Amino acid sequence: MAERIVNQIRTLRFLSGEMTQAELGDRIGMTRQTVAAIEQGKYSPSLEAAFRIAQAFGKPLEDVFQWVTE
Amino acid sequence: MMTRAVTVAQGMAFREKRAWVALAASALVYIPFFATVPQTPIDDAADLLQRLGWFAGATLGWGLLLGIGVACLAWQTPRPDRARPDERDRAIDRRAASIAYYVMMTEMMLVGIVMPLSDHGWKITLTGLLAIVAAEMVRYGVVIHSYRRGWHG
Repeated sequence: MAERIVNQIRTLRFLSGEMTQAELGDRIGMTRQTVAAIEQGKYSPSLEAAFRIAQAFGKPLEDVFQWVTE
Repeated sequence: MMTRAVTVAQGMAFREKRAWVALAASALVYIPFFATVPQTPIDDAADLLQRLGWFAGATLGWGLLLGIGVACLAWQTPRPDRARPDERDRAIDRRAASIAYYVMMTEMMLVGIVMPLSDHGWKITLTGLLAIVAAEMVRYGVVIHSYRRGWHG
């Protein structure tokens, strides 16, 4: 059974006035490429970074990141 | 194909591009060096200095290639993309250094423990130099692989 973290960052960016990856990166202290890697599931952010991302969207953490079992 | 290559390069992190440049420079300089440097025992001090001088020259050439390559990259890359390393950059650096360390340890055990039993001094020195270069190339390779395939820290 594979377990992984999925996220809604791309959706939330578009819902937040079409925020770009670069804009989100500026807000949370990461590069545009790292934000892209997180969206694509190529990198799992630290807990602190995950909270910063959620704070940038004004959402609770579980609305941004989910732990799924497949 | 060129369009795809440009698109891929635009999506690359600055530090990944830098690793590609370092890996390419290492291959361009050190593969020919180690393939052509004499492996016969040293004749005298002058012979030793000459061979070490070749290695120094190769390293200078590598440094020059790397410097020019990184300068070109920096010129082409917008300042925000060249920002201080973020947590993913640091995690990938740590992973690459850790793996390269174990590669180096293994190589040095070969050079320092096994080879003295059967090989002459210059071959041991040359293998030691090769071990250092190989460990560095492994480090660049791990950096590139971690950016390309993903690394979850």
